Amino acid sequence: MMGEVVLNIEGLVFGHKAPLVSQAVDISASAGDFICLVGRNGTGKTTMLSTLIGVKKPLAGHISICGVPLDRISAREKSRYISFVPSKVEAVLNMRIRDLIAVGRSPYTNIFDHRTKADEAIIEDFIQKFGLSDIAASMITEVSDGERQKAMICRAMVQQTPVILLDEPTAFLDFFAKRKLLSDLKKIASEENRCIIFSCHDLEIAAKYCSNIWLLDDRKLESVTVDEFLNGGYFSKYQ
Amino acid sequence: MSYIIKFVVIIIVLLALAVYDVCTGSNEIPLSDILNYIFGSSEMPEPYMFTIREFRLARLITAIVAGAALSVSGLLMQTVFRNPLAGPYVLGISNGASLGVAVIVLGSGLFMPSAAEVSNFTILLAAGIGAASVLLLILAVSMRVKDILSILIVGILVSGVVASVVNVMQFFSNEVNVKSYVVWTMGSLDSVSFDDSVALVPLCLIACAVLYLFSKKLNILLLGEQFAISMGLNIKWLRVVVFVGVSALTGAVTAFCGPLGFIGLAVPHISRWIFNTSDHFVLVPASMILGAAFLLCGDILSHTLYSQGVLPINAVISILGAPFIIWIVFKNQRTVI
Repeated sequence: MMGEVVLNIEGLVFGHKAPLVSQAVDISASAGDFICLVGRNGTGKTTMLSTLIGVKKPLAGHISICGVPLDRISAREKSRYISFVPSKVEAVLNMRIRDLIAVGRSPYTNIFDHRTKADEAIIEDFIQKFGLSDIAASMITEVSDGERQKAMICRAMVQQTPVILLDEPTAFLDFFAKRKLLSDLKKIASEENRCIIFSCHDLEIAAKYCSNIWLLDDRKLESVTVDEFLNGGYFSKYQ
Repeated sequence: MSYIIKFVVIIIVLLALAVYDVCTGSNEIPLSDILNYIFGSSEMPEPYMFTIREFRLARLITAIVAGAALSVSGLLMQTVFRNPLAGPYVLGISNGASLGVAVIVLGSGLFMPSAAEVSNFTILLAAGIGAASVLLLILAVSMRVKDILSILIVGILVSGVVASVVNVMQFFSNEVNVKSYVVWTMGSLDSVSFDDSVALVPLCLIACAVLYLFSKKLNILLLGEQFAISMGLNIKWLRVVVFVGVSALTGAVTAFCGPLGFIGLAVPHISRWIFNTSDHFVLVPASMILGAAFLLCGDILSHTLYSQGVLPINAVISILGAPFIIWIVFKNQRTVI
């Protein structure tokens, strides 16, 4: 089950101006991992994700993906190593689902966004895998939140990054759609051998699907197994 | 590709409007004479030739360039602010240009009572500086506040302040200068000389070409700023490029033609509606062509509706264009928000 380590975080301190963690984060994740980032409001989940995707600079420490340090490569190159799915996808006027998914190839295309046959084949392939063929020609304003998000995740796959981050992907979904999404993501992580990390507040559903948990609590981040998380006193602590 | 067919159609419409625009004016030139001349079957009578060379051609070029420049500006502002209500006018950029011109036109009476006629170059410079100042202000605000609404509020407030400053200047200015300023604000394509109109062309083409090269980035930006950063975009740099390009286009056009505000807001919506896409590689050229066509329509109508003279083009565009635009915006609304 253990794949090779793709994401390696060493001595990371993140925060706005003041650090949000009291001890530097050393943590790693492997290909095929499906990790849930858990933490109460205000503990810094979003800041952590923002730091990983480069919206925020780390206060200290290094992040490397597949052995490549992210602070040594350009922002554009970075988008070939890590992709991000925001919690809510903008309802852009007159944009088709297929256009949205095709954006995933932009880290590889030239200034005129010319896509090669290979690029188009990758896009087609994932549209089929995600069962989005029927709505690929629809406008993103015409489909539901769930479908739009599925398209955004499909876009992240098309981007072919070893690491995929999702910010609260279940926030706008109903109970059944949440379960469906997480089981789909778990399948993608293992079948496509990607490392998927998502933040989530639906702890019971998340614990059912994820491979392990990154727990952000008491100003420190640690990796725990699902069993450790469920029996580790986290729930009783905040009753 | 249906895009190519649509482009061919709108280019034909643009050419037809351009030919008709040359016909219209204080003394009408028969359409048949122009068509015969274009297709080389006969010479143009010299009086007509003179009118075309001296007046109509300048007006035609100005209309095409101004329409294209303002429409692209509006499109890019709507994308950068991710707000369909944005445009050079809404954010007070045109007002900034107006203030620059007001300082020159009205101020020439205040500070230099004996001043000779203000040169077109001075007006161009003043409008450019005015537009750039407002843009820099909005840029500075948008670097600090991420919230789009705050930036829009600042834009509206700046417009208000600028309008008030102009009011004060009008109050202290003499009738002749006030009249010439007010006429300038009504918009006109007739006062531009042929040389000036030709000078506008490369400026507009270069700015539009540079902005066109950012289409890929703008397409990504549509999906949100955080997402765009994760895709490797330098948002601040992109904003600076767009703002500088837009202020150059808006400033130049406003200097020559007055504040033609409505086009920048409306034409991007027409482009999105006709081409049914959000792709800037399509929308930038489409907005240029449709913007030129739109302003030509306005120009033709302002010259033909009233037989005794030329109606102010801003008024014509707003009165006749607004219902049409409202209809398009409603037709294009399929948002589920």
